[in-house]
This record gives sequence, structure tokens and C-alpha cells, in this order.
Amino acid sequence: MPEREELIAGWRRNLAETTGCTNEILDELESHLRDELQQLLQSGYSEERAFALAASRMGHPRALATEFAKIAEPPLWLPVRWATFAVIVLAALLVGFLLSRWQDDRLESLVAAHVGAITLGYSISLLVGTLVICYVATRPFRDLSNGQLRGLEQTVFKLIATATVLTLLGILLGCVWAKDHLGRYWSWDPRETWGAVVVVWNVVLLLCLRAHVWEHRAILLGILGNGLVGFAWLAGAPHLRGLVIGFALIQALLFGLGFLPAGVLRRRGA
Amino acid sequence: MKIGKDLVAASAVPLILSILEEGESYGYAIIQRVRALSSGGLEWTDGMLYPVLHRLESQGLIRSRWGESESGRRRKYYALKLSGRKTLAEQKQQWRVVLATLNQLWGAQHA
Repeated sequence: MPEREELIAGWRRNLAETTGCTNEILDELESHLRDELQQLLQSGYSEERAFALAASRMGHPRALATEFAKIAEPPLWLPVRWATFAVIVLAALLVGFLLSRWQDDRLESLVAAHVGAITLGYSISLLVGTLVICYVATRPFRDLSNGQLRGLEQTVFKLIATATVLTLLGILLGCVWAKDHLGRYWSWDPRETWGAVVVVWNVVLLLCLRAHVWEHRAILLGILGNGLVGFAWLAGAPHLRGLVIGFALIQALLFGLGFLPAGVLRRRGA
Repeated sequence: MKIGKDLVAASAVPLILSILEEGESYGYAIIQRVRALSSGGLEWTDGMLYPVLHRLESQGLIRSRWGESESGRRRKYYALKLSGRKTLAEQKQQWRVVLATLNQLWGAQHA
């Protein structure tokens, strides 16, 4: 029995060194080896022979390493990495700016938190839209690999979830401020209303992403979110309405372009 | 009769999903089931099953959990998810078309 344990420990060590697999994978493979070993011993094989046979049935460690390397997650698509980096930089800059204003007593803490949450929420929504536009612009020339596409979808989901929470928090803080200063929580002010529309839209996008609406193309809805954020951000500036409508129409056009077949321009150019 | 490597690889996913459709299972049991069903014709290298299982899990088609075997050892169990059932339904349709096509061709040749 101790000899069997030594053999298994040696086999596992060799596998770990050759494949570089995680402990969880090694645990699973070891569990399989033990099942096989038990079966062979019950069939009347000697300890030594049973172990040799069970180990050979598992396959050569190098072959296993090659197979596991194939399922390793590919690196994230470059724009996805940029977007993640941009969110971190943006959040750090915004928090730094608002903190400095608050310390100078030029901004009360409630307003600083409201402005920070809303600005970051809207910015992240716009960043997601821009990220998806990058995808739409790339797709006619080459489609992303399944792994890259999965990474893009997951990043869009996480960023939109963050944007939703921040925007909602910003609106709630705004309501509290309005109650203190204006005597009411909500007044259907265009900025409030469009802020609520952005939150609702983000929730719809999250649900569509979770339900895999149009398969991976649910991320295209992120582009339409750009238009809504445009309305929300400039709702207090009626003289810029034409500009915002133009911006929203461009987003709608880009959304439509997302339905072009992948590689369509590459094939025509070839 | 041993089945060729390419066909073994191509049939791995529908086989695994079909076995998991019967209920939760684990790697060793899946391999034993395939061996028994194919009378030893479909011979997988045991370790090669796991990269496929992990890929299916990362694609969201199956889920896993650590449980205990009858002897009290830790064992990883796999189960089919709803998206896995949908994928299996699609694969079944595709394989039925392939089988029907081959049957027609080979049926005609034998006639």
C-alpha cells in the first residue's frame, strides 16, 4: 500500500513537471488513475502491473500537456485590454479630481459622490460602446477567435454591470441631494429621466447578454447605449440636441453594420 | 475493429454530451461507458478526455462539482447544462444527416 502511494505520488510529480497543470486538474487525473487502478486490481492484476497499465492508459504526460495547452484561454483581444486599462485610469483620475475638489471645500461630499458615480457609469457605458464599435470595424476583415469573442463578451458584461451599479448609485445620490435642496426626490428632470433610461437599457443589455440573444451579437446593443448616454449627458443642453441626435443616428448605423457577415470585405478583396 | 483517430476526435463531444444527458457522471465512468457501448472499438486515451471536458465546461455546456466516491475519495462530477442540451440537440440533427447520407450511399451500393 505505501508502495502504491509512492508510485502515484511519483506519477503525479512527473505529470505536474511536464504539463504544468493546476492542482485541481492533477487531483482529477489522480482520481481517474486510482479508479482505473482499483478496477485492474479487482481484475486480478498485480500491483506493479496494474499501476503500469493504468498510467499508460492515462497517456504520455507530454501528449497530455499538448492537449491541455489547446484549451488554455487565449490572451484577451487588444482593445479589450485597452478598455479595461482605460476604466482603471479613468476611475483613478476621477476619484483623484473629486477628492481634491472636496478637500478644497469646493464640492460637498454628496455632490462629489453623485458626480463621480454618474460620470464613471456613463463613461464606462461609452467605453463599452466604443469597444463594440472596434469589434464591428474589425469583423468585416477578420472574425475574432471563439476565445477572443468569449473574452469580449465577458468584459462587456462585467463593464456594463459596473456601469449599471455606478449609474444607479449616482441617480440615488442625486435623489437624496434633490430632497435636501429642492424638497423632492424626483422631478422628471430630463437628466434624471435619461439617467433612468440608461440604467434600464443597461439592465436589458445584461439580460440579453446572459440569454445569448442573437448568440454573441447581443454585445452590439452596447453601441445603441452610446446614443442613450449622449442624450443623458447632454439632456441639460437643448441647443446641442441636433448634435446628440446625429451622434445617436451614427450609433444606430454602426449597430446595423454589426450584422454584416464576418470577413465580407476580405473575401471581396481576395 | 479500432476506429480512426479523426473519427474518435469528431465523435467525442456528442458522445460526452449524450452520456451526460443520461445523468451526472465522472471521467472514468464516461470512458467505461464509451468502451462498453462501442465494444472497445472507440478507445480513448483516458487523460485526453479531460481537456475536452474542461473545454465544454468553459464553453458553458456542462458544469462540474467535486463530490465523494463510494469509497469516500474526492471525485469531480460533470452534468449537462441547458445550453449543453441545446448543443446536443443540434449535434444529433447533424449526425443524423451524416448517418442518413451514408446509409443511403451504402444501402445503394449493397443493393
